[in-house]
Amino acid sequence: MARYLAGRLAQAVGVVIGVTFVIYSAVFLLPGNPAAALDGGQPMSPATLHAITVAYGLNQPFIIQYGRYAMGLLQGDLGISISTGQGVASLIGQAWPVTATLALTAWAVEIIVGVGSGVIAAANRGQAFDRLVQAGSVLLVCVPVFVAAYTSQVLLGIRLHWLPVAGTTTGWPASYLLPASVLAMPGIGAIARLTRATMLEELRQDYVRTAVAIGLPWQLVVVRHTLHNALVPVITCLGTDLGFLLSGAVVVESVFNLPGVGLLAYNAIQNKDGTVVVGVVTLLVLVFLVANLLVDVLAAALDPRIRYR
Amino acid sequence: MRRPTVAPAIVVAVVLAMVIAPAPFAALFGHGDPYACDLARSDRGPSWGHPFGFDMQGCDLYANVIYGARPTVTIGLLVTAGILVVAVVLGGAAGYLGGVTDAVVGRLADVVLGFPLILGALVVLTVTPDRNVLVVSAVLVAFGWPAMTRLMRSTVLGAAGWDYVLAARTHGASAFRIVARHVLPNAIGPVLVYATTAVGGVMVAETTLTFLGVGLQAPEISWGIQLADAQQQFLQYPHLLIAPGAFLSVTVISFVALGDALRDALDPQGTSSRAGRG
Amino acid sequence: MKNRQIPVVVTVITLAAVAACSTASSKTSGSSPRASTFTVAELEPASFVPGKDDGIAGDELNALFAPLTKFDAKNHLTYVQANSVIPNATATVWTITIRPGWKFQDGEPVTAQSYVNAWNATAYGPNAWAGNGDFTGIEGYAALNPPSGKPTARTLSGARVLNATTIQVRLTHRDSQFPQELSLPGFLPLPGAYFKDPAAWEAKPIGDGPFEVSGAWQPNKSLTMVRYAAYQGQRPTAGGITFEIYTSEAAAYTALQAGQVDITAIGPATYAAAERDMPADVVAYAAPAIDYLGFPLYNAYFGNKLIREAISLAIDRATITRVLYARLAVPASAILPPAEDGAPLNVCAYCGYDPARARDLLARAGGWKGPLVLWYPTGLGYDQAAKAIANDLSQNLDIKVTLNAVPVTSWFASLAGKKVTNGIYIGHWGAYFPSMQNTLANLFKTTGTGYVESWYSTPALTKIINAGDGATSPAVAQAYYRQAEQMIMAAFPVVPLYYRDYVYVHTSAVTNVVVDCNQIELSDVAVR
Repeated sequence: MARYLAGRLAQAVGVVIGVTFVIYSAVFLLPGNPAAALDGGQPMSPATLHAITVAYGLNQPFIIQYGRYAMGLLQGDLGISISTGQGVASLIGQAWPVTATLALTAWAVEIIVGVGSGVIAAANRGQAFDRLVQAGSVLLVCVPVFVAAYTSQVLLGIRLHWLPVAGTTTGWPASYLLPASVLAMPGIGAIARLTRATMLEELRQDYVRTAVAIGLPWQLVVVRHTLHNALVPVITCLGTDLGFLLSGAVVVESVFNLPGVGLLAYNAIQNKDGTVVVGVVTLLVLVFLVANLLVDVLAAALDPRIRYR
Repeated sequence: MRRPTVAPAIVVAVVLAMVIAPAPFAALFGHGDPYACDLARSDRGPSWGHPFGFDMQGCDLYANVIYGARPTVTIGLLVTAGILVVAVVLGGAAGYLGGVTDAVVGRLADVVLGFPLILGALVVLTVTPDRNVLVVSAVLVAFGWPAMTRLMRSTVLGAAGWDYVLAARTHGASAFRIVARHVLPNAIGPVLVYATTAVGGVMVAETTLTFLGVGLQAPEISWGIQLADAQQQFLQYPHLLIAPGAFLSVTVISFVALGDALRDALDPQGTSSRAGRG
Repeated sequence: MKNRQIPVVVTVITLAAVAACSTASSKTSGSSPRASTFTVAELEPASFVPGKDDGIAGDELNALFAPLTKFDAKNHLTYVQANSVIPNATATVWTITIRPGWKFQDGEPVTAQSYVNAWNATAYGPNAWAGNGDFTGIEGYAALNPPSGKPTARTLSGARVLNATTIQVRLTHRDSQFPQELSLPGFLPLPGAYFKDPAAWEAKPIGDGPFEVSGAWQPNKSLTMVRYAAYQGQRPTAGGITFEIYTSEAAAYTALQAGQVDITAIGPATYAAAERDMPADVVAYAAPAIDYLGFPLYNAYFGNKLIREAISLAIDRATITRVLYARLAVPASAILPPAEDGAPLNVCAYCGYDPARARDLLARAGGWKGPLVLWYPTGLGYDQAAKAIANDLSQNLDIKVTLNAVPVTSWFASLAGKKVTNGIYIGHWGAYFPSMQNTLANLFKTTGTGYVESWYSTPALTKIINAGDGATSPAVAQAYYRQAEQMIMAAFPVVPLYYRDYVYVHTSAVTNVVVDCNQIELSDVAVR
C-alpha cells in the first residue's frame, strides 16, 4: 500500500507540472495584451502601456516568461495578477474558503440525500418512494444549473424569504445552503440512481437471502451487511464528483454572489490574466487528484477484494 | 421487470425528426417562421395560432422551440459520438494492453478530468469569434473524453479476463483481432448505456456555456439561448422558461430511458458491471 | 476489521480538516443595529485611489472625498472645496483657491500641495492610473508620458502651488470648461499618508469627505463608512453607509428584491423588470448619455452615407425604448443628449422609423450583399437591444445580420485595433459631466478617448470644437458646439439610437434617493 501511495503521489507531481505548462501556454496563446485590461478596458496612453509591458515582461518570448513563472512557482510564489496588482496567492487565499465551503456543503448534501434516498429506495423496491426516487433522479439531471439557481433564488429567497439569496454575510450554513443544494442537484440524481442500482445488486446476493432466512431484521441486513459492499462504486463516483463540484461552481457563484475561485478564474479568463488562471486551475487539479487518491484508499479499505500493488 | 421502451423510443425518434426537418413541425401551429419577430408582441402569452406565445423579441416561441432542437441535439449527438470514438480507441488500448499505455492514458485522463470543464471551455471559447455547432462540440469533446474512456478501460479489463478471450489468445489471434471481435462487443454494453446519459448531459452543458456567454449566439436558435434569456423573467412570463425547458427535459429523459432499456436488453443480470469493477 | 478502520478514520479527519480551514474564516456575523446606516450594492473596485478609478468606485469616492467643484441635481456647477476658479483673459491659466481649514480624516490639513501631489502621481505615465487622461490639457503632461523610454520629469510643470490655498494651472490650449472638469475624480487630493505607505492606505483609505472608513476594506465583501464629524461641508443625513460588493448587477438586483441591500444601480437588461416589479422605487436620471451605431469608416463600403441613412431609418427606436427599456431611454433625435446644456433637439433627419424609405435608400446605394455583423460588448445588458436591432434590419432591409458579442475588457482593443471590418457596432458615450464639449471632444476629435468609437473627425470640425472650448462665455461656446453638431449631422457618420437614463432602485427602507451625474447623492439619503 505504501509503495502504491508513493507511486500515485509521484505521478501527481508530474501531472501538476504538466498542467501548469499546458494552461500557461493556452493563456499565453490567447490574443490580446493583458495589460489592456488594467484600465477597466479604457484606452491607455502608449507610454503607460509600454511601461507596464516592460515591468511585467510581457514582450519577452514565451520560454522566458514561463521560465520566470516556473522559477517563482518552485519558491512558492504564484505571481502577481496583472489586472488587480494583487498577489495571486492572496487572491486565491481569499476566494478558496468560499468555494471549498460551497463544494463540501454540496458534497454533504449529495451524500446525505443521494445515498440515503438510494438506499431507502432499494430497500423498498417497487413501492411509492422507489418510484419517486427513480423519476426524481432522472429529472434532476436534466435541469441546467443556472435554471435551478435562478428559480430557487426567486421562489425560496424572494417570494418565501426562507434563505438569503446572495453573499456570505449570514455565514455558514444559511448563506451556503441554497447554492449548495442547487450545485448538488445533478449529483444527487446520479448518486441516488447508482446507489439504488448497486444496493439492488447486493441485495440479490446469496448471503442476503441467508441472513433473511436466519431471521435477521431487514434494516440490520441492509445497513450492516450490504451497505459497505454496495458503497464502493458509489464512493468512486463521489470522488470524481468532488472535482465536478469544484469546477461547476462558476455559475452558482455568479448567481448567488459568492466570491469564490470559480468566479475569480472566470474574470481572469476575460481579462487574460494568465497567472491567476494557472494558479486556480492548478489548485483545482491538485485537489481533484488528492480527493481521488483518498477515495481509492477508502474504497480499498471498504472492500477487501480490491488490492493495489 | 420490463421497462416500457416504446414511449422513449418514439420521443427520441420525433426529436431526431425535428432536428433533421424542423419546418413541417413548426408549421403545425401558426405559420411556423421563427424569424418573423415583432417587438410590439414581446412576452405575450399563448394565443390562437401561437400555442407557446411570444418570446422577448416578439418571435413565435413555438417555432423557435422547434428550430431550437437542431443545434442543441446535434451538439449532444456529435459530442457523444466523438467521446465514444476516443473511449473505444484509448480506453480499449489502455484496458487491453495495460502497462505503460494504461499509465499514460490514465494520467492523461486524470489531468483532463481534474481540469474544470467549464473553465477549460471558457478559456478556448472566449477567444473564438465564430462559435458554431462544430466549434462548441470540438471543445466539449476535448474536455469531456476522460469519464467514458475510464469506463471503457474498466469494462475491457473485465472482459479481457474471460475464458474465451484467453482461448483466442492461445490460438494465436492478433491483439487487434481479439479486441475487435471478442472484447469490444462484450465490453461496449455499459459504455453505450453511459453514452445515452451523456447525450443529455452534453445538451445541458451547452445551455450552461450559453448562459456564461461562450456558447452559441444569436441569430442561432437553440434551447440554451432560449433558457438563458428566459430565466430572469420567469415569474412574470413563465411560458418563456417552461416551453424550452419542457422540451429539453423530455428529450434528456427519453435518452436516459432508452439507455436503461438498452442496459436491460444487453445485460439483464447486471453481471458485466460486477466483472468490470477493479 | 481493525485494519480497515484506520484509512477510513484518516480520510474522514483529512476531509474535516479541509472543511475546518475553509469555514474558520467565515463566522456568522450577527446583524448589528441599523441605526441610520444604509447599504449600497457596488461592483468590486480595484482601488480607492481616485487617480486609479475607472468608474467603478464612483459612489465610494463621493463619500470619501470632497471635490473642488461638483454638479448638483439640476446640472449646475457648484463649488465644494474650491472657493473660486478664475481664468485669465485667454482661459489658458486658471487660479484655484481652496477653502482653508479643511482636514483629511487623519487630521492632516488639506492644502494646495495635497492636490498637486495627487495630480502629479495620476499624470505620471508609468503609474498606469486610469485618471491619466484627465491631464492631457495641462502643460508638462507630455514630459510625464513619452511614447517610449522613461519620463523626463515626475511633476507637471503646469500645476504650481502658489501658497497653501492657491493652485495655478497652465493649460496648453484655451478651455472654458476647466471648472467643470475639476469635478472629475482624477482631480481629487491625496493625503500624505498615502505616499508614506500606499499599502496601508489602500487597506484603510483616508480622505477628506463627508464619510470616513470605519474598520478596514474587506475585498470582495464590504466597505463600511461612518459620518466624518469634522467635515466642513454639507452634513450628511444618514449616520453611515455600508458598500457591499456584488459580482454582478443582476445578483445585486435579486438581493435588493430580497431586502438584503438598500440601493443598487441596474443595467439596461433589468430596466423593464424593475419598472414592472417596483415602479415606485425606481429612480432615473436623464443622463447626458447616448447609445448609437458606429461604422468602420476606414472600410470603403461603409463610407457610403446612403447605407448609414438606410440603416438608421430601418430601426424602430420607439418600440425598443418602450418595450425593452420601459421608457427609461428616449429615442434620439440628435447625437448630443438633451441633458447637455444647450444641446438642440430634432436635428437628425434620419432618426425616425420609415422602412419603405430605408429600402429605397439602400437600393439607391447599390443594395447589400452577404451578412452583416453587429458587434457589441457583453455583460453590459445590450443583448436584447442588439437582437432587436438585428431583427429590425433583417426584416426591413432583407440583410442577414449576425451578432458578435465581445467581452467588455477586449472591447476597446477590438475597436482600436480595427477588428470590426465586416459590420457595425453599438457604441455608447456617457459624458463625464453635462456638457456638449465632453461628448464632442471625446468622440469627434482624433485626440479624444472615444475617437475609436466613432472614427469620424475632420479638421474643420476640430476647429469649431476648439473655438467652443476657447469661448469666453457659455452662450458663445454653446453656439459653436451647436454648429459642430450640425456639421456632424450633415455628414451622418454614426446613427444615434437613444438617450439612456442611469437607473437606480431602492427599497422602502430609505428615502430621498436622488440620482444625478454624481451617481447617488449619498449625503441626501435618509433612513426610515
